Amino acid sequence: MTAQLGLMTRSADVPIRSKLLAAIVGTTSVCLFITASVFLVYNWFNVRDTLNNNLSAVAEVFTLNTTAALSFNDAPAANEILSSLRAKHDVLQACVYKSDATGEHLFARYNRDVGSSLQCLEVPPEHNFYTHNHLVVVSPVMLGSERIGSLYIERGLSDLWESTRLDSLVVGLMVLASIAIASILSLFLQRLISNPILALLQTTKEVSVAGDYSLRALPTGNDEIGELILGFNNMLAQIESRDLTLETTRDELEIRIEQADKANAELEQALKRLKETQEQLVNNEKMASLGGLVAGVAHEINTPVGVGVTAASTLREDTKATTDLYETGELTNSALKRYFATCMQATEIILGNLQRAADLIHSFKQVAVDQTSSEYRMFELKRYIDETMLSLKPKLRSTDLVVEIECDPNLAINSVPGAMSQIITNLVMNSVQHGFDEGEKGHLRIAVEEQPEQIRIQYSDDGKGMPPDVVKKIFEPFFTTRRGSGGSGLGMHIVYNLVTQQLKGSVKVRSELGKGSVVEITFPKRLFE
Amino acid sequence: MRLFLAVALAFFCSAIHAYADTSELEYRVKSAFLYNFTKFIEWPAARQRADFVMCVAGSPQLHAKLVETIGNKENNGMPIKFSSIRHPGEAQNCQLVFLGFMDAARLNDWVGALADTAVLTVSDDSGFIEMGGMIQFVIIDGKIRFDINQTAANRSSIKMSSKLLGLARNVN
Repeated sequence: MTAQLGLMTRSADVPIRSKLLAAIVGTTSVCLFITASVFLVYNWFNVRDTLNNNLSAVAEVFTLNTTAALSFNDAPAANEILSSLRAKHDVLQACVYKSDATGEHLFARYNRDVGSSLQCLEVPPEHNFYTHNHLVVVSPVMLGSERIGSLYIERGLSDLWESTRLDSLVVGLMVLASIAIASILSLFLQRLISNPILALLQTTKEVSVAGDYSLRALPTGNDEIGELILGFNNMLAQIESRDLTLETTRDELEIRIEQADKANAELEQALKRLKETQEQLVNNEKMASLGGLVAGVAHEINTPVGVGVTAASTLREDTKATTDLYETGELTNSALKRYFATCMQATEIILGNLQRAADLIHSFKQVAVDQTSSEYRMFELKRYIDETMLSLKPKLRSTDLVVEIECDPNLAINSVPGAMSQIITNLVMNSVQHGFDEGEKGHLRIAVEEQPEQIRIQYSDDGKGMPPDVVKKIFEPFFTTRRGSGGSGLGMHIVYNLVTQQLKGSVKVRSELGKGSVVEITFPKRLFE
Repeated sequence: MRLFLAVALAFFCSAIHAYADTSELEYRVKSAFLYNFTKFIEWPAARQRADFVMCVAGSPQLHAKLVETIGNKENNGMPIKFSSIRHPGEAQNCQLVFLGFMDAARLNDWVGALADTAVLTVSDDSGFIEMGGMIQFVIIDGKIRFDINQTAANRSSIKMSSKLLGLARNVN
């Protein structure tokens, strides 16, 4: 079974040319062999029959010739007649039997080879018979209607075998020659079938290798292979048209993608411009708050400097008056003492106020530097919030708001102080601008809660609060309820950005109309440690 | 009767040696020969009558033996009749005449009379062929054989089979 399968697979792998050749030559060979064999066998029987007939004819003649000898009982004559069989080389022996009352008895005989082992039978056989290489004809010898004896003639069949051998040789050579001719012819004829198939195969390969579906197989005719080629070409045409459609669609798609890309690029450009604008706005806002800071700083420093100026001018007046008294010699001891006291008082006032101005400038400088940078460092949160609130004082002075700060003064965190101050500034300014009417009383509360890894700042006011739709959009850029009256709509957006990007934290807003607003900021205690 | 003949023929090869002078056996064999002659000889159409008549002159023993051995045989479908004659003139209806005379002069007369008559002449006489007779019995090595004068037969338009000629000791 496996052998058969193997054979089948092997025969399935054989090229079609060889298969056709094998089919034609094989069929021819088998047919020729059968024909040749049948011919040889038929010829053998035919020749044997002919030999039989010839021998029968010879027997006929010799029965006639021996009639007289038999009837006149002349055995020597019969022997002599039989001896003329010597001309017949094939006849090996002949025997004449004479009939009498007791049956048939040997009467005369002929033997081709004197020393032959062939012997006439005592009684002749009744019928003709064949052996492998002998043919025996038995013929009755008649005198009128009376049977007077029998003639037995035996011949060898060596000539039959000889001619059969010769026939086999000739026929075999002819068969071989025919097979050779059939092979040569089929070599040419099989191309009628295999060439179109191979051409089709070639086209198929070209199509599959090159992927070129515009190729066509050459049609050969209207036979099955022609139909196959026609079908193949139709298939190719369908594929080609499909490919064409596909390509067109792809091109369209590409154009659309290109358009979409262009639109995207434009959108990106627009977005970029938007972001730039936004950044610019944010910077503007920063500069604005810096400007506010500067205004606050100027205002704060104004008081001690003014006090210092007053004290210094008073000291100068006193010094001038005392000097005049001294030059005129009217300087009294008590007046000098009073002047010294005034000097002391004035310089103390000047020193105290200059010290205060220096302190203010120092802290303002820190806040201002921080506000324009996003560096992180270690700082004390409480002090920093206080300093930020200090810079906001000018804004808060015109309001009636009380600021409460709840924070552990020893709490130091590693974070971005600039962001922190800006967040507080923006939240406070938001409350001042939106949470309260002018002159309205209120509280602002900043509560700092330390957690193991995080800091939570809860900023709250008890102002007007916001409706839910405003709360929902509070962190969106350019969202403002006061577009006409100077709101940029960026404050809370900046808060959101600073908390999420710089502090790496999160921010939530809770508010209800009439119940104030709460902003909850949570961020890691230590950034990048 | 056939059986008898067959037995007789089988016999005679050996018997003739032992009983060479036994005229009984000799006549029997000669009867058989005479009958056999008819098988290998063709008479002219004019001679073919309703009956085949075998005539014997000068040998009543042979006549008797002929009747005895082949009396009911046929020739070409015709029954064979036997006739004993004394004068050549009686041979008008005979196809075959056996001349049993020992007298050469009488034989000569008969041969002369029967020449050109399409009658086959047979005799034992040793000079018969020279006289113009057609078949002459001879005894060689104790066996009966015969000589044939084909010329005489041809003159009488009697055709002898080549087979018969082949068996003859001499053919003239």
